[in-house]
Amino acid sequence: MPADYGSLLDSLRGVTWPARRAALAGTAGTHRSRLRGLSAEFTEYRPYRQGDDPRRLDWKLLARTDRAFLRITSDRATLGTVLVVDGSASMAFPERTREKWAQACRIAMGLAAVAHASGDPVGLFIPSDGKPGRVEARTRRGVLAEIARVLDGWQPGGGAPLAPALGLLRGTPRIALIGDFLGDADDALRRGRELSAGGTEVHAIEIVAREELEPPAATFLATDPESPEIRRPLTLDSRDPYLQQFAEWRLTTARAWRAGGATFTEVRTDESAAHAVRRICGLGAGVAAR
Amino acid sequence: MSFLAPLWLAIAGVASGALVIAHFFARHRPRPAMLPTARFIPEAIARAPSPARLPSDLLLLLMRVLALLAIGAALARPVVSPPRRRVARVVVLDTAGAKSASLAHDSAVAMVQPGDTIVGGWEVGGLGGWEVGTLSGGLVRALRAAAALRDHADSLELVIVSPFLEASFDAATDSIRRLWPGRARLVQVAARSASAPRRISIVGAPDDPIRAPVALLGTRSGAETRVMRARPTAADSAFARGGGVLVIWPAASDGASRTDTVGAVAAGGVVVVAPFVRALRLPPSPGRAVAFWVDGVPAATERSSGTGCVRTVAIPLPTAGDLVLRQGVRGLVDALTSACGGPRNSEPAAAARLAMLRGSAGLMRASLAPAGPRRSSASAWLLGISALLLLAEMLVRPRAAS
Repeated sequence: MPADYGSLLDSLRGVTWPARRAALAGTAGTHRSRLRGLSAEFTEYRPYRQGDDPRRLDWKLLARTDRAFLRITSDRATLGTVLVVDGSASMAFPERTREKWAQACRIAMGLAAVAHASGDPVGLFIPSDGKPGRVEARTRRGVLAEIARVLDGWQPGGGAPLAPALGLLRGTPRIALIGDFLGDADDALRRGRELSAGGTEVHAIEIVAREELEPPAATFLATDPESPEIRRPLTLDSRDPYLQQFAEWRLTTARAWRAGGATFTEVRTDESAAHAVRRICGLGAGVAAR
Repeated sequence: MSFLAPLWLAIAGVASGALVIAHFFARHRPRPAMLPTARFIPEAIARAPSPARLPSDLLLLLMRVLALLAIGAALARPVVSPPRRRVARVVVLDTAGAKSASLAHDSAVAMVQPGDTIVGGWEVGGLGGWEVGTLSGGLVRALRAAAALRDHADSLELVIVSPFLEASFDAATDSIRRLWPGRARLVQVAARSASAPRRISIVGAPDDPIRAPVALLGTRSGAETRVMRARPTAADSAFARGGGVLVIWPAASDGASRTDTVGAVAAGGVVVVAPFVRALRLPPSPGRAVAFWVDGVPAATERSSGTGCVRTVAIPLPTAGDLVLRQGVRGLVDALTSACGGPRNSEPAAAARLAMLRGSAGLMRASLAPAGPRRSSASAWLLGISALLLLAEMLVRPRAAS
């Protein structure tokens, strides 16, 4: 595992990524489950009703008070998490440092580590025009190293859409979608809404490069790496309209994802990855608390 | 080298400077760079002005500047100034009335040096073997030659080689001579001796009206002048080619569709005023007019034929009346039957005329000569070069734009 991931994982030790809502029944884990009754974590008493399982009666309470109450407990379950990372050409920006891709990898590794620390199965999916990068969701110890190896070996390129990948992940309890959403944004949003409606917890994490927010003041002919036919001069005159349109688009995209039941987090390339992961995890908890 | 219109060169220089400055601020396609969010940039022409420390498109700039300078230089009309001599001569050769034209020509050639100019009066009114005309034509040509020699010498000397007869002068000679502000060297050549009156033979009807004025001219014993009142024959043409004077003077109308009347006719200084019926028509002829109607229409022409000449006359002589008996008609017939080249006054010119011709001042300064039209042979070449440069620029421009 690369050294920079090591420092990142060290700084994320102890961070949890709680589920936004009660998880379905499954392997015992850290997330609150919809299933109640068998665990040792007491929640409340409920009067016995005909048909209840008599084994759940609190016999000691019945002996002391001669009243029949059931002992209600909460179950804990794991939450399978798949990290979908956009590996298209637009992520290889800036050309020299590829900071967007590097930040996406750090965020993915951070979230994977946090989820794995909670005992959740963690997987990875990188859409591609050819063979996608994929690590099945597992809980075993080596899964983080496997994810790191796939991420480090991936060369961003092409323009593979995200929406089909989301379709393949139907049924996954939690999906973290990490990318710039500059490709098939509308299709991905529609598929994300479907997943949310189906009970999947969707986290949309937008990676924004500092150079995209503050492009160089020098005049240059901006070329879209995924659509070479888009070639427009960025000048002093067009700079302000560009910034305004880009900000409006980010705002609209965030609103659309949140309205679809997902969380949306904007992460800039010059932001600490650990801080961004904490924001993402905390945001999830915050929404769950609401 | 000097320029006839140097202002154009200055204009081309200014335009070239502006062009160089424009290349510093030229609109060009900015450098491409990847930006995933390029779609949010407003659409615009992919060219933007950007100042630079070095001019853009150096090859194009070089071609454009060279083309501009070439056009400017062509319009400025560069001329190469030849080396100047102290004195250049303009020799006026007048062989009209000279005993030997070749000797006169040799005399003129002996006067010139490389770079000098000989102008001949015979070229003004030359007619085969007979030199006609006066010094006026030669002097006019000398003035033109002086304009051409203006940049070749400091002073210009006028040399006139002529027999200097009274016939060498006309009313304009004095005025034209005064246009040359300097003295002239006069070189006199031998004059041709005055020819005897020519014998006139008439081929026509016995009662032809032309016989009256010819008879009044008296009996002559000189060379023959044959007056044809009928259609000439081959023998008549041979007569002319052999040195004779053949006068074709039709007696009857040639059937011209349109006839009119005219009040007078002039030839050889003789004017006859009478109501002539202009029923004859002159055939197209390469010769010169020797008689004119009062309205300026030629009434007789003369052309050389071998060593003689053929004179065609379209003046009808009336068969009735006493017009043919008048002295004017007699002089008219005498002029039209004179030797080839017309009658000439072979009297030597008066001393006063020669003094006027010689002048008294020094040599004419070349700068006083009239400035003639100057041509720049380099202009066409420069325009051609500029056209080639502009063509090359058109070929290179798309590559530079891409």
